[in-house]
Amino acid sequence: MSKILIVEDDKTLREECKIFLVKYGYEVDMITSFENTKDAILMSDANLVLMDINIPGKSGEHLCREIREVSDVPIIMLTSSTNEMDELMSISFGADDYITKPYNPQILLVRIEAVLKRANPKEETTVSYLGMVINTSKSVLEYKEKVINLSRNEMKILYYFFKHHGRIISRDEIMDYLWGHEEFVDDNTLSVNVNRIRKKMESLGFDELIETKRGQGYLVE
Amino acid sequence: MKFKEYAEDKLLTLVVGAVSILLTLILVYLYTNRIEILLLVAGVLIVPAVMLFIYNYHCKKQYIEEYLDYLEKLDKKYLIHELTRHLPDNNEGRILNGMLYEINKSMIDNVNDYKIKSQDFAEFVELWVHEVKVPLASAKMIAENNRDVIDSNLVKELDRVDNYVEQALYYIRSNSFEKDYIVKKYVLSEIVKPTIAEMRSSFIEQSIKLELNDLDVEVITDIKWMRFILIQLISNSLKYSRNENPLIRISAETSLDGVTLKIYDNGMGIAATDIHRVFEKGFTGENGRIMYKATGIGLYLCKKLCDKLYHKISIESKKGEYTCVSIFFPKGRMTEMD
Repeated sequence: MSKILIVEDDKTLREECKIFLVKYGYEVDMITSFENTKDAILMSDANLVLMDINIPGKSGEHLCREIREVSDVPIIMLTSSTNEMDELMSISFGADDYITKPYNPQILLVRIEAVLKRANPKEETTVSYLGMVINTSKSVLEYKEKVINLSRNEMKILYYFFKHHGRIISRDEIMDYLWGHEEFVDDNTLSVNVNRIRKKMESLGFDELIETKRGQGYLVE
Repeated sequence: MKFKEYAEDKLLTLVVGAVSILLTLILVYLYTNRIEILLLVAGVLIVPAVMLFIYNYHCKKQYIEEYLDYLEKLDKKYLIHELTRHLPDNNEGRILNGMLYEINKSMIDNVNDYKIKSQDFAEFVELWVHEVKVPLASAKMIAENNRDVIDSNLVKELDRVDNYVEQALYYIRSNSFEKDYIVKKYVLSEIVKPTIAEMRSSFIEQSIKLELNDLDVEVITDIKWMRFILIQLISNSLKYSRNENPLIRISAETSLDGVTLKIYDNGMGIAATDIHRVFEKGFTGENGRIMYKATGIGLYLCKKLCDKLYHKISIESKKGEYTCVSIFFPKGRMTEMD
């Protein structure tokens, strides 16, 4: 599980950000006093730092540069000004990515995933459920000795099903997830993909794993 | 300056001169009673007086004509005193120039006052935009964290607020003299796809079919400005979409001299009487009046920003059938350098 350190001086935003990231399975640490931000960041064992560009006392850019001198921890800058320079500077000061406020929460998630993946390219991201393992770097589903290839859309949908099993998932929710990951599918494509996934599940012996709840969505028990 | 005008100005001199010459001549004649002496004195008095008068007229005429000539050729007319400094070789001219200098200085001070005020205001708006984005970000997070109890329309309204805030920012930017954008090479899909991902809720809700064609081409632009422009254009397409089989197609065409990005929708279209005015500031047209409360700022800003980036924006539409906005990114010799 990856740990994210939030360095943001606005209390509400910080707290809400934490709730959000925890909901999506991250461990979250926060810095609440900004007297010695640099040391606080360096002392943390976080896998990724989400840092506001304007923190009290010091500009995020300089902080970023100072951290880079001693640490390679991935940093995502949060900028609220729409100033081009800010972003250019963040990158040149060693930030791995930047997001402009008010960021779309799902997009923030996508960017975090991407930066983490870039930071640890060898680490395989896997999700498992009932012994089935989705290997996202190979785009396959593994179960016992069997390996089944998944298309990009199928993998994303199945990934979402596995992560959120046990509750009803609406079609709009899946669409939102896919579009957030820049897979612009339409309603029909989604149905087709879900049907294909069902067939693949059946071939592994999981019949009727994905239930259709009329008018509500899908349920993976 | 005509001779008549000059003579009018010097009327008093002329009258006094003429009268005193006349009196002198009368006195000379009365004392001497000899006509040849009268003629001699008349010649000695009148000839130089007339010559001097004509010479003065010429000097004045030349001076004024040169002045007017400079004034006419000058682009910034208030700078005239800088050019005419050498002209007057007399006290009158120097005093005039000194006056112009003072007048100009006070005018420039006055203009600077306004410049500072307007810059101040622009800075305040930028700062304000910067500040307001923090609570907006929090609000979006809160909505996301409480999805089951919060209506998705709230998120849409927040997005609208966000866009209006951005419009204010870009409005200020589009008027500033500073060049606060950075043009670089980008693949169009790198700009288009994330923008759509951010706008996805409207697409999904309205079941709009999206087609992206041939967007893997490079253009030279500023990513932030382009993203803002795209948001304006796509939200127009979303706003005026049709109810049955709505479609938005974003495609690129490469030609010899550049790349054209097209944003096409099969929505309600724009009336022929309105189409040539849609880029005007505050123009809302028929659609704006009937359907929604439009501000007439979105497309105006698109045009302004495109002009600044040297992109050519144009629009084509057929009422009730489609609207297609094209943005042309020229590929010049300048832009081919790496």
